[in-house]
Amino acid sequence: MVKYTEERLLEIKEEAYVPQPQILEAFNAMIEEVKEHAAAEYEKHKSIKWNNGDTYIDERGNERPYHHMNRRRASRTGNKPNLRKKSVENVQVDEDGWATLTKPKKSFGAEEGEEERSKFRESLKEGGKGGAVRAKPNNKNLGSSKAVDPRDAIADKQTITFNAFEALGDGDDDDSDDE
Amino acid sequence: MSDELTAQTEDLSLEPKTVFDNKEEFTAKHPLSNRWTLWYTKPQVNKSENWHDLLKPVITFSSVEEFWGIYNSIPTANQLPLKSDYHLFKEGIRPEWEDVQNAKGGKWQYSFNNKRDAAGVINELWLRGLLAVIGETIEDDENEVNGIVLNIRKQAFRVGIWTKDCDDSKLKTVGERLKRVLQLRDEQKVEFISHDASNSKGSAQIVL
Repeated sequence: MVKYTEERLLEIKEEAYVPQPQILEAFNAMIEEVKEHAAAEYEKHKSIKWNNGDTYIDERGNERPYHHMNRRRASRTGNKPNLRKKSVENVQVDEDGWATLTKPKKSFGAEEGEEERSKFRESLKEGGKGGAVRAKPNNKNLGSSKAVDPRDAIADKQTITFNAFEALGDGDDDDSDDE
Repeated sequence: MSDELTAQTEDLSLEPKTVFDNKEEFTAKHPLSNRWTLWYTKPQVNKSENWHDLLKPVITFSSVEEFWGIYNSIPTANQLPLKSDYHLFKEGIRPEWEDVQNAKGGKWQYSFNNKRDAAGVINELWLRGLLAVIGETIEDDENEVNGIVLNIRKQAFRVGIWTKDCDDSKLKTVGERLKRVLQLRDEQKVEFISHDASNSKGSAQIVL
């Protein structure tokens, strides 16, 4: 058995000889055909994916789909819009011409509810020490970006289910504890 | 005297003649031990084409010179369209499980799953595979190897060596050589699967 190492075969590369060029030409033509078909299929698939048939004519007269205009913001871009409302600062100018910046209060009146508010705050602090009022945190919407509904913060109610077997049994269950 | 000299020098020429100057008189300087046929699996273009229509023998050769002529004239591995396969098999063996000479055998194979990384080296590795097979250095004297296959897929490039039998003792050399030819690291494992197990979706029988 004649063996050739890789190095030996590479040395003979310069002596290449094409035995049947017409066959290889036909083979290359066939592969080109397959590639063209694959490219056409890809374009077709792409247009089906992205085009809902709603198009417009651009300034150069080309028909273009709208899809690029109404895509949703990609989460991966990292540039999230800041949706927080900026607080509006009021400028008050007094008689002497001095301008003072004041931030409006978000709740209650500026002065009138002050006492009630501080009482409420104190009561909460005292209650906190004694371990009194604790609202159960709502963990139902952890995966959601929706605002938390305060009604969900109510502690779970104990539910009483109807048990047909108990109902059919003796009716003295309620009294049994008293005996 | 001058006539004699003219006759003697008539055959001398400054331009060297090669074995390729006349196609009819071509005799290979470097014959191979076996005749090899290059096959190509064409991706399906329309649904009426079946496997037999898609698998086509391209050309057969028996010398190193012809191998290089063919290799230089056909698309390289990374130029082939998706779902294409190249198969280089000994003449007379179809690159199918059903062929009598493949039926009891199997294949050593390795998948380059990271196509982006492999795209830059697959041409060289596929060429090394071809050279090891036609140069018969992929095995010693076991005569186990029937051919080599390259699959171009969406997820991976896959190279496989098809063998005649499933005899462990003979197969290990081929597997180890394939690993070396494909320049794989220790943790990159080549797997042997018999065609029977492939049919029944079995797992790899030998891993190196």
